[in-house]
Amino acid sequence: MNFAITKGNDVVIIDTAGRLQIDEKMMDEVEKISEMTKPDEILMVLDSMAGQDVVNAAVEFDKRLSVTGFVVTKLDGDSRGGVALSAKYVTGKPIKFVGVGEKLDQLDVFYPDRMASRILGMGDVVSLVEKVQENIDKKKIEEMEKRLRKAQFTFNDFQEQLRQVKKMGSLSSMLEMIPGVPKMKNVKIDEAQLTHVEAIINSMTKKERSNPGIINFSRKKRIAAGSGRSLSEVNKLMKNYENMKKMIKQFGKLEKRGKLGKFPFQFK
Amino acid sequence: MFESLQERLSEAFKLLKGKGKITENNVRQALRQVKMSLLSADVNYKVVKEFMDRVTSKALGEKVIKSITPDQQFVKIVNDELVELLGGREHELNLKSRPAVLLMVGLQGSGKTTVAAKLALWLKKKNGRNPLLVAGDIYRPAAIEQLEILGKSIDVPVLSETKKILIKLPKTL
Repeated sequence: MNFAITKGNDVVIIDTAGRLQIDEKMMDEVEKISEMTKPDEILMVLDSMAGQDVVNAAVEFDKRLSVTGFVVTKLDGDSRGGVALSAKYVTGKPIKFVGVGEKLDQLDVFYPDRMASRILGMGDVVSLVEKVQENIDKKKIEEMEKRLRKAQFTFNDFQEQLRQVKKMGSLSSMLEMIPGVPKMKNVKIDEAQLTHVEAIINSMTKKERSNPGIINFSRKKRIAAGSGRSLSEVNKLMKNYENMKKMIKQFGKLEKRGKLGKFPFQFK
Repeated sequence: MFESLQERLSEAFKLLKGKGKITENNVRQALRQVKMSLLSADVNYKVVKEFMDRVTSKALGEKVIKSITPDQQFVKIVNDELVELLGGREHELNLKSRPAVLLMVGLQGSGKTTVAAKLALWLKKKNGRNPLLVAGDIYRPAAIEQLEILGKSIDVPVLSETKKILIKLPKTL
């Protein structure tokens, strides 16, 4: 504690060894640690993959230490979720956070109302919007929008879009938050395909990316070889790109004539 | 997340969907399905019982059967009770004191060390705090190294000198 004060840290997080609630010696130890450090919060970490016994452990820990809250981990896995649903009722102590992935930023504040609507398959739009706002770089999007309005959409923009989407986590985890989607069991997105598209774009030279018109057959062949994808996949991407460009052009024309108020997708 | 529970619950709601008139029997069937969904999701049986009592008393009232959209009314009741069961509202950390001390406890392998690092990152990013991680797991091999590496990756200092203090602890007990 003194160390923290001298170094100017204003939060101290103490990690302790894992222990079983029936191990007297270890429970005594953690009680001692708690007495010594006088924590403001005692957070018990619960593994949502473990079964019913975790709830008993929670009760026992709470008795000895008077826990202030729970963190339920591994909710992204194939867990059935019983732990998350039981902990509050059995101990009377709230769940404060949930771990939803291996990465260090995959820790979410626990919102009971949002979780409930997810369980009922109604999605969680609030969290989705928050996630998008957190991860999307507004400036870059605005720049892109300007270029889009002038129909100067290049593979550089495409690449940037892919990057931004990827930052938000896996597509399937995002889809889960959209109302109605969880019920459609057969919606499966091929995340690998996104990676393939990215690989193809990455295999283009800078010149090719900003000026896709110059991509001829021999360049296509090189791109295919460089990205390890087939020539037809490169062709498909090129075609998609052309279509997209055409569409954007049309939007632009409509806008000029005043038929469309604003660009249909805006992040503001 | 909660895939199987989600699927089973939607089965229950389907039982009431698209029916113009609903009898008490229909509702009871749906209730039964909700109960089975919760039990198979490994929810503690005491919790299920209490939960079902509350949902049942609400659902069997006039409201559901006589409402124009009984299925939606039913979903709403289950939703409200679920929110209640999960804690009602979000609970924030008590970080008023400086330094605020957070103690992580739990069974082996539940993810304490990882959560400690995640919390440190969260506090840093969202709350603008300046956290310090303290390694206290002197039993598991490489636990301290794990925290040190995690700390480095999120640029949070880790105090591992605690080893000496903690090793003395069990002996004094």
